[in-house]
This record gives sequence, C-alpha cells and structure tokens, in this order.
Amino acid sequence: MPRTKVAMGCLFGVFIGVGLIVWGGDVAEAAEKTEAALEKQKALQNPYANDLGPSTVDISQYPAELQEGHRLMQKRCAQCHTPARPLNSQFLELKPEEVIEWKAKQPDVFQNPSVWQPESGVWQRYVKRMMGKPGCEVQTNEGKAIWKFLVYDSKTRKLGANKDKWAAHRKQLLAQFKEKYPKRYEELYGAKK
Amino acid sequence: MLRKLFVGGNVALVVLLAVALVQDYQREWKRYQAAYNSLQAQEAPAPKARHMIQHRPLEIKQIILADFRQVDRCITCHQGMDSLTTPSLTNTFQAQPFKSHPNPQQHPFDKFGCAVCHGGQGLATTVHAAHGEAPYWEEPLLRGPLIQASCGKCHAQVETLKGAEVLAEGKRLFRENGCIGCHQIHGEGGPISVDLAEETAVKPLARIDFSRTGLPQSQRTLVNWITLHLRKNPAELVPGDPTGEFGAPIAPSGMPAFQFSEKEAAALATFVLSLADQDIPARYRVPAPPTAPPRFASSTEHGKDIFQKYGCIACHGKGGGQGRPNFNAQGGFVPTLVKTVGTYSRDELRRKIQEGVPVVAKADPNGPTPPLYMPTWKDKIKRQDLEALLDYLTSIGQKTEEWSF
Repeated sequence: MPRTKVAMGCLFGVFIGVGLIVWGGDVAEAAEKTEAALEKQKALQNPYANDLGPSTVDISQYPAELQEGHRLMQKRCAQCHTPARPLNSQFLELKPEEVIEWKAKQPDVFQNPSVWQPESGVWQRYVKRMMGKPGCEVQTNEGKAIWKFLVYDSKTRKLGANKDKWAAHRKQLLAQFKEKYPKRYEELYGAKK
Repeated sequence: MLRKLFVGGNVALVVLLAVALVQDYQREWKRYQAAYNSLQAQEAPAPKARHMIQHRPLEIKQIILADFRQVDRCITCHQGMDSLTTPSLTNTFQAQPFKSHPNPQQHPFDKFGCAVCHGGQGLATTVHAAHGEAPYWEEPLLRGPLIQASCGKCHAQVETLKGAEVLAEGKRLFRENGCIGCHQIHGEGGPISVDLAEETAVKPLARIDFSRTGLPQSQRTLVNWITLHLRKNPAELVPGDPTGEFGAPIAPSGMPAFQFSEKEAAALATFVLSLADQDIPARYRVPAPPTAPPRFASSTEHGKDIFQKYGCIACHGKGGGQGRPNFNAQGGFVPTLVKTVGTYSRDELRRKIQEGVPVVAKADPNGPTPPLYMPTWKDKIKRQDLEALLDYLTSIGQKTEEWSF
C-alpha cells in the first residue's frame, strides 16, 4: 500500500511539473506577443485577394542575389502578413522607359488596375512604408534586397510570356475573394472593376 | 399658559424686528456709500456742497438693461460709475470700490451695465455674491486679463482691438496649435472632441468632475478646469476607464499634454471663454471688416496655411514632425508625417486625406478604442487647397535614399 501511495504521489508530482512547464511556456509566449504579431492580427482581419494565393513561387531560375531577397521576404515580411500578400499583388514597378516599352508591347497591362498596377516606385514606396510600421525589424539593406526581388519577380511573372497566365491567376483570386469577402471586395476593388 | 405664549411670541417678533432693522442698517453697501460720500465731500470746495454730499440718502442704485434683460446693482457700491453721484464718471480715488472706471465713454454704463463684461451677479448687493463668489455660481467675476473674454462676445475681430491683446494672443495660439483639428466652434472644426463654444465655454460646474484636479472647493471654477487642461496632462484629469471596470473600456482623454506656460494658458482660457454665446442683440455686435483672401508666395506656403487652418498640427505635430500619443493605438502614436509621407504617392496621399482613417487599429484588441482618429476631409479640403496641402506635405517629407538596381 505505501508503495502504491508513493507511486501515486510521484505520478501526481510529474503531472504538476508538466503542467507548470506548459503554463510557464504559455506565459512566455504571451509576453512575446509583439507589435509584429499585432500587425499580423490586423492584417488578417483586413484581407486582400492576394492572401488567397500561394505563399511561394518558383525562384530556381532567379539570380542568387534575388533568391536571397526572396528568402528575406519570406522571413521578414511574414512577421506581419502572409508572404502571399506581396507575391500575389497587382503591383508592377516599371521605370519610365519601361512604361513606354510595355505600353507599346502589351497595352492591356495598363488597362486593368485590379490585375496589373504598373506604377513607378510602387514597390519601393510600399517596402519603405512597411519598414516604418510598428514592430517591423527590416533593416535598410534587407529592405533594399526585398525590393529588388519584388521588382524582378513582378516583371518576370506578370509580363511578357507570363502575362496571360498571371491575368488568369489574378482574376481567379479576385473571383474567390469576391465570393468569400464580398463587402471587403467592394471596398478594395469595387471602383477598379 | 396661552397668555404667556402670546406675550412670549410678541416679544420674539419685536426682537426679530429689531434685529432685522439693525441688519438692514448695517448693510455692507451702505458702508461703502457712506465712505464714498465722505471721500467726495472732502474734495468738495464749498461747505454747502460738502453738506449735501455727506447727507445724500443711502439707497440701492441700479441700471436696468432692457436689451440684455438684466439689472445691474454694481453702482450701489461702485459709486464712481453712477452718473447721478459722479456726473463726470471720473474721480481721483485709487481704492476699490470707490475708483472710477477707465474710459467710461467707451461702453456707456447706462447702455451696457457692468455684468455683461465683468461677469458676477448684477442683482446682488453684497460683495461676495455680486462678485460671483457664491458656491456654484456659473459666472464669477472675470479678473485680470480674463475680462477680455467678454470683448469677444461682441467684437468679431479681436486681433486689432485695443485692450484685447490677451484675447488676440489666445486666438493666435489656438490656431498655431491646431486646436480646431479636434474641437469645434459652433459646429465648425474637427469631430474628435467637444465643441468649445457650445459645451466647454458654457459647461455647468455640476457637470465637471473636479475629483482629480486637486483643487479646493473655492477654486473649482470653469476657468481653472480649462487652464488645467492646458497646463497639465489632460489624461490625468479625464482618465476614462481603460480597463473597463465599469462597463465597456473607455480611453483617457486624447488631448495632448501641451503644458503651456501660465501666460499662454491664460490667453487660451480667455479665448475659450470668449466663445460662450450670450444673447446679445445684433446692434451691439461689431462684425469683422471684410478682408481680402490671403495671398501666398508659393503653393507650399498655401499648403502650410491649410495644414494649420484645419488643425492637422493637433495630431501630427508642428510641421508634421511628431505624431501625438494615441492611447491603445498600434504603435502608440499618430503617424509622424515627416517620416511617412515619403512612402505615399501623391494620389495615395490625396486619397488618404479625403478618406481619413476612421478606425484606428488597437494595440490591445480588448482595450478601448483609441481616442484619436483621422476624420475624412473630402468635404472641407478640396481642389486647390488640397493640391497645395499635398505640395506642402511633399516638401516636409524626410528624403530617404532612392534605391536603384
């Protein structure tokens, strides 16, 4: 009997110990709910059609420097929102001479702002804007690397031979988003249809 | 027994009558009138005049102001302003209540009376009550520069009004610090906080919670309430209920802790008090003369004027240099424009100004709604004003390194 009691006591003590460890972990985790986590919470409460798309793209053929930018984007940007948000965005940063070039080659890129939003400096502005948000840990050199990746990636996947594939993908995202979040869809894209 | 009661009652009545007569004989104002008569008699050259003055009847004197629906009895004590006692309305006496009023012709007493400018209780005949020092009297005597608040009731243009320099300074500070960004004046201004003319300037004392002011009962006045907001941290005066102890959580006051100097606070308080609407007939009002619209040397300068005119400074700081603290907002502050404007295109900035930010994200989702938000400006700032404002905002943005491949 005493041996049983001892055994029961030890088992009880183990349960208590495990409970304390788990509770301590929860407390530490709660304390680490940073401004970045709050930004992420805010981002999830205000979704975009971009969020419904994939969180990764095939960058195997991209230059090494840009692959590093992609890695940084996955690590840093994902602190506050999904990587899907920038990867499936309609933003397309073009230099003025590129605007002239593409207007001649593929004029429809400039006619549907929900699918393509070609604008000088758009990615640079947005990356810098994100860097100013509370909890953002992106340093200047990292921001620049992320920007370079986003500019290159946008041109690669949204123009040229991939233009139609991109248009179909983006339109599908918009349709899904409209079905899932009709009010938010109207708010974001209603005027641009 | 009944007879004793009857006699006792009659004796008590006689005693009360005697006490009433003695009290009436010793009225405060009678002493002042007698003293004034004595002072005036000393200056009278002829013995007959001296005799007449010294034996002038002591009586209540009043000015009936039909236009203001008021009766002022101030001249009962302040004989220097009584045209019957002092026909010239001037004398050489220095002490109150005997001293005459400066510039008596400027606002004739028989037309304006006293209380419409000075406050207090015009009908009262004791010093304490007449000066509005009775508990919970809403309009105490306006002392020192505060009296200039009354100038604003009739005079629309105070900037060039002689004798209203403190009021003019208060108006200037009000604009310079962007108070109109949050507050309204008779409905015009920002929607974030109270209407200073319709609410603050006429706030009944019974509706003010003085419990966190540290003021003794005698100093719990509207002027002190306003002044504390300007000198201390308003969040300490109006702490709200951020933890939701009594229901839904309420943020503390979002008013920034401006911590003005004593002089600045007095000027601003004077200005706020001047906003109180009083039922003054139109013929007493002095409208501002028409002025040409301002001309600006550049669009940027025009934009700076717009930035100040609509009170953007109140939340974003002077020159957009430092956003104000915003309780429970993510990041804890209103955006500092010099850092953020460079990350917006001109179109994006335009949209932001037009649409505002009506819902500010909370740092603690269970906490109170942040008190400061950006209203929509699309109906107020338009066309050339809007473009000028954009030019100004673009000019103040901190330049960051332009990235290139």
